[in-house]
Amino acid sequence: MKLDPKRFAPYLVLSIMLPWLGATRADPPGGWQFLPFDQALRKAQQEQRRVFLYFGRHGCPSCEKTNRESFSDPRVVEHFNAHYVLAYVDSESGERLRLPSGERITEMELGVRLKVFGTPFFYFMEPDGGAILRAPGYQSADEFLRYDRFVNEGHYKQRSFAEFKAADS
Amino acid sequence: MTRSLIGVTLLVPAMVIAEPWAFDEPLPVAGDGETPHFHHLDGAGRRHVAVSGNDVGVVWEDDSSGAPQVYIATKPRDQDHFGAPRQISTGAEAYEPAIVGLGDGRFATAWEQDQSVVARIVGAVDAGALQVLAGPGARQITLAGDGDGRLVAVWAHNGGHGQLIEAAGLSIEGAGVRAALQAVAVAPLTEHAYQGYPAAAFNHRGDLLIAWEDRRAGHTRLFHTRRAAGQAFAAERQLNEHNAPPPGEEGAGLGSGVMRVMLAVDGADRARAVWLDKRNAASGYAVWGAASEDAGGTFGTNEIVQDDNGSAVAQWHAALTAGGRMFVAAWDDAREGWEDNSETGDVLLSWNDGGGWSADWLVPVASGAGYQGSPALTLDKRGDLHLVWIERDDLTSPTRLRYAHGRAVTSAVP
Repeated sequence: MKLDPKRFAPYLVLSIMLPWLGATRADPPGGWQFLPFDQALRKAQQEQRRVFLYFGRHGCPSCEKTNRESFSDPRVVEHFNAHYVLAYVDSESGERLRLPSGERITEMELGVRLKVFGTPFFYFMEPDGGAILRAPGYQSADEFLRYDRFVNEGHYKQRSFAEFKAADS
Repeated sequence: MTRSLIGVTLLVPAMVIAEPWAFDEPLPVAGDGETPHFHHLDGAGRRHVAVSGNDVGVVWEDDSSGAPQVYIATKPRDQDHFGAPRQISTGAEAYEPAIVGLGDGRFATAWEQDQSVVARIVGAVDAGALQVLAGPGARQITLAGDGDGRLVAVWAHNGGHGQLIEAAGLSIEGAGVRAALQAVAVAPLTEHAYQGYPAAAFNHRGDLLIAWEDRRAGHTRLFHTRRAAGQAFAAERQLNEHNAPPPGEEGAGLGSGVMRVMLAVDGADRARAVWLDKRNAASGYAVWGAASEDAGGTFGTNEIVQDDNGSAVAQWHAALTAGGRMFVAAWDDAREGWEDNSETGDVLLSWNDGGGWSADWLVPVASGAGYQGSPALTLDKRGDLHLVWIERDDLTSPTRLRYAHGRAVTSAVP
């Protein structure tokens, strides 16, 4: 696929600015339309789109590396904004969410429920919140693009990610 | 020889089971009705159970009314059931309560309600008027009392220029409670202020100890301070040892993750802090702590609280209490359910009588199939342990609130 430089100019500017975006630099990357998890899930159900959930943490070095190196990649920006409803959770935060069950919990507690043992931690979900794929730790732009192909093209319905990755290499 | 071996075999279990408490059968507190709902024990400082005179009180938040509200249930300490839950919050939504005993059968309670923090005195059958302590933007309130008339509320307040920890002494007049003086900032900041989730305790000199989370540096650190009666707060000190890449390396200036600090002071005026700490990134948060031998003025080197058997799994919901010459930490983890998704959490304890933290103890009445977690606990003057926790079939199912009375095993309690 050929990339149109004009289309990606704003993202390129943002990617250049990312390292200078201030003290909360390990928070969600600029240029992405992240929503709180519960809002994202509602939107995903309304639009029947899958969810990409980013568990970060304020001050997390690997989140910062992911933001700087991977989420600044124009291909990742384009594909993920186009294919998913984007959600961000701060795994130490006391901000509250409402789960589909009606339960109100904090963002930190969501990490307990989803067994998020470290950050960054990435989740691909069905529109109803069902798990598709979990990806812990730093991921390169190419790895994100491979996850995107696996999920967005529906390969996960036929094979495991390991099988897909072996065939995709 | 054979007799010696038998003797050793018989002796070993006796030593292994020298836990300081023997738990009664757990009691239901709330959630056993037909309507499923969700209970939470998630207040700052995790003060959800307290003893006052002969009564035990438990506070929590649940959505049984259709909206999150705060409830209390009480019982005489040797009664085998709690009274019906009583809603003590009055707003549209209420969260994250705290409770301390006043020593006369009444309890001081506090919680967040409709963007404010409020307090209320509650007895076994009645309750005083609700008092708003701080207005819009206040949350994460905790309480500390010394059982001798001193009572303080500490909370996080976002006044539009960052979030700061504030404290106010409380005075009780009849059935009412009010802030004795205007709330003061514990550690004022002018830039990048983001302080949260305070914990508080009094030492036996009457000094107030407070610890909290602070994000000003671009990652979360823990700080603590102390205020002697009638004095200003001492300069803040960092509590956790910072674990991050050194200057010049990737990630320098960022941090490894800490949250939800707890404080307690024992009868010998020693203070302990525990918190969740992710310095060992591969296994998630673990329970770490620090000791103060000068009544909370300074804390020493950080030490891990849990034992190595929990090193492969994450720990959550740490809580701390103290009494006599004993500190007790509680938390939940899923070490018993390694690669078993149906076993999602159990309550564990570790205690410290001045030496190191004990081997972890899987609480017999708060472990097994399903989830038992989010514990809170308090020691009473007899050395008995009062433990509450959340029970559910799995991590998405409705919840039940449980309590167990751990009776001190005399020979094991210092």
